[in-house]
Amino acid sequence: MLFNSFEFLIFFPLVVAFYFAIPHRFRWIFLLAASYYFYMAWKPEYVLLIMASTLIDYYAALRMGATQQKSKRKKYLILSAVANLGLLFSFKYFNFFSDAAREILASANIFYDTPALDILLPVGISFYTFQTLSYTIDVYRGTRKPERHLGIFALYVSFFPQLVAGPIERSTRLLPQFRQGKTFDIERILSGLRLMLWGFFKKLVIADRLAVYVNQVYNNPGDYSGAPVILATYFFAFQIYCDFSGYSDIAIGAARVMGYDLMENFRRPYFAKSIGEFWKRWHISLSTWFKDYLYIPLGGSRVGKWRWHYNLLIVFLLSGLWHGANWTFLIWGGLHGSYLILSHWTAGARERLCALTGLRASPRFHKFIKVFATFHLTLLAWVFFRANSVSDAFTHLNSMLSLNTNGLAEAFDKPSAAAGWIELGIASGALAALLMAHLIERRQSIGVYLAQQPRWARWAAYQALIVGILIFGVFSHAEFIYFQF
Amino acid sequence: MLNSSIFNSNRLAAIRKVVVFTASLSALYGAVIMGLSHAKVDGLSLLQIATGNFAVTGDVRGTLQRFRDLEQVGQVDILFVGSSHSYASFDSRVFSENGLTSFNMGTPSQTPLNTYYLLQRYLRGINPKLVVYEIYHQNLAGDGLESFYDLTANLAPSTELFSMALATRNPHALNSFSARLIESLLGGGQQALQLSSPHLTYMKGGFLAHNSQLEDTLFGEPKDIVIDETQWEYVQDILELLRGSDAELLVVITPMPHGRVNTSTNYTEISEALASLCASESITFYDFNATPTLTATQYYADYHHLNARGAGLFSAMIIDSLRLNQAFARRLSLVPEVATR
Repeated sequence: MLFNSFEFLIFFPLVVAFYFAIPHRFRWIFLLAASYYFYMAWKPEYVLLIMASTLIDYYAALRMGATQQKSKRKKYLILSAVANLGLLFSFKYFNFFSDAAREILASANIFYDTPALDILLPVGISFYTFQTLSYTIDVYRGTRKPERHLGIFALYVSFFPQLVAGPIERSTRLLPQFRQGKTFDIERILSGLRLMLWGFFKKLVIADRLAVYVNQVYNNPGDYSGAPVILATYFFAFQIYCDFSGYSDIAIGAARVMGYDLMENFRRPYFAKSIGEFWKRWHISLSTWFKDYLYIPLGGSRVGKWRWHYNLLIVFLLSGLWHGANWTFLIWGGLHGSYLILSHWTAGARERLCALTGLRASPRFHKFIKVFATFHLTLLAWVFFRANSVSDAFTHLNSMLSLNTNGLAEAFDKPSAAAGWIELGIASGALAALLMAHLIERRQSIGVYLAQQPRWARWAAYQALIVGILIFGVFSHAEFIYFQF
Repeated sequence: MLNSSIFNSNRLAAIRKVVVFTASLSALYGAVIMGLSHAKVDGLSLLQIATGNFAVTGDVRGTLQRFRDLEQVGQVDILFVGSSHSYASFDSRVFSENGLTSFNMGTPSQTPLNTYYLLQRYLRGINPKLVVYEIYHQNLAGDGLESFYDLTANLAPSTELFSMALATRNPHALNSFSARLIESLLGGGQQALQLSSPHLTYMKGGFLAHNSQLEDTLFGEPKDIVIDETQWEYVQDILELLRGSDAELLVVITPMPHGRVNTSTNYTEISEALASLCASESITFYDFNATPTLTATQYYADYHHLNARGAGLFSAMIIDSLRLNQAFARRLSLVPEVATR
């Protein structure tokens, strides 16, 4: 079931109404059933995969909790890791590695028809496997005790607001919340609904509208050159941000309505002043997962220089691979890892350059340069993320070098050039609204800002969002980008 | 008592807030709809550009004229309903020459969802002896929005159109309907653009003669047609609606060039599913692509519509089929002889 669907519009109010109508001790059962129903609305049989992952990790954690012997605990941790990563590998990466093996063999003149699996990628598998893996790792480390209540644990794995595209929640944060009674708090419910409204605006009005342009250009490499390709790349940066952060807002808002607090997943990432800072603001739940469960165990930065660089590359390559089984994602991840390494190497040179150019004397301009540069480095990486193949990515990069400024609005594929420009205007207006919201958020949260305004102004803002969604939203039931991960 | 009166006044205040919010939201929505539908660029309103609704009132495909004619038509022997294949394939002149009155209620891209609500509105008034329900298999994968836009641009707002808007489950349908409703409430008439085309000629009674001939045979890449579950349910609802009326019912897939049929890799499965559905309801179903029918490209105006010549021949074939079917022949008072054309 998609958030941006008629079915969810019926499902969610019914779930909330029933949730608050039943006593607290039955709510976990109801939420679990609702979460499984939510997942089964896509493909019923795949709920067995979540159940299998749940049962294996529940059992593994209990066995780890029953012994202090590290060797025995490790056995069960390995069981959990093999089960979860095995699932992920089978459904997501098998064909990629099979194809890669075939290509490598072919390059050595060995022609072997490697096997391929004809199976659909289960929605959300990258998210829930990582979520349960974080639980078993925490139990192994002794950070938390195993959850003895199978139903509550199953709910932690399958909680519908964050099941298919995160945020990837830590068990220490989410599990205890399922035991707490939640009251019907109208202010909290309205706060959650406002966040969902903002999420739907970002998804339906900004992301899906920009997607029309981006898809037209990026799915037809070589058909466009110069300005349209550059514009499509800028658009994609905001499309993916609004798509993913919009989903997160809807998820966090939906959970908040029912009284659950999910972690912040995005914090105005394009205002980051460095790539390192970018990764503290973008997909926070995933970047902290990789930091806590891979980067730090590898030694983090508390190792020799070359080992540190190796750790960074490994983490970002795997992060890229997590996003998709394609060389483009590996390159995307590798670019970000390289940026961090280069940033370290050039730190001294950049300091000297700042001193030489007098940038230090203009802190605001200096900050602007840093934000500008960071944004454009991520933009370059997004070309690979969005391109359908590595060669397409290089075609797009090559196309950008053209001085062509024609056809800027044509990619919207409207009946007339004027209509295309109108469409461009709508997209720009929506992006302006986003920028305005982010500028406000630099000082205080939007919720606090709006609470300080008179009622008519608050209502005008909410109504503008609702009307904006109804009229300017794109309702082609486009999936959220991160659903495919 | 004090607590309950405070509770009641709080509740009243909350209800008042909800009512005022909803009312002001509706007013804002209406104002924005009106503003955007009146601001035009290159003949298209900003609302049309924003919602992707490029339907034009009174365009050459004849929906406006067709439903104006419908208002003057009383009862007819045969009602044709369906997509553009309906208005392109059933030549009312041929039926007339064979003593049969008919009306063609086909409209561009009409899907079962659209057909259902049109029949709900017009079936009783037309009271036909026979309904020929044409299904274009590719429209079973559609959402009905394109047809809805065409109907909203050319018909007066009605409860059936509103129900159709809701059935599409797309807010843009509601936007288009709201714009149309506000326009008609403010006395705005349908300023029809009299678009004409050398290739299309509208005939009174709903038939749209296609005057061109297919020249190339590049039919496109083959692909599976994924039937939308909602559309399939509407097919069943239509059959049920029609079986509940006095009319006989014939379901058809009109002939297309073989190249076009072959672009749908699961065409046979779809045809068989329709045949099976009709058989289960004891409804006569003809797929004119199951056996070679009018295969030459000279009978087609484009990749899938019969031209006027092809429509004339096909209409005669339909009449012959009706004569051979006892129930239809009896109902239409047809004698067994070859149709004149």
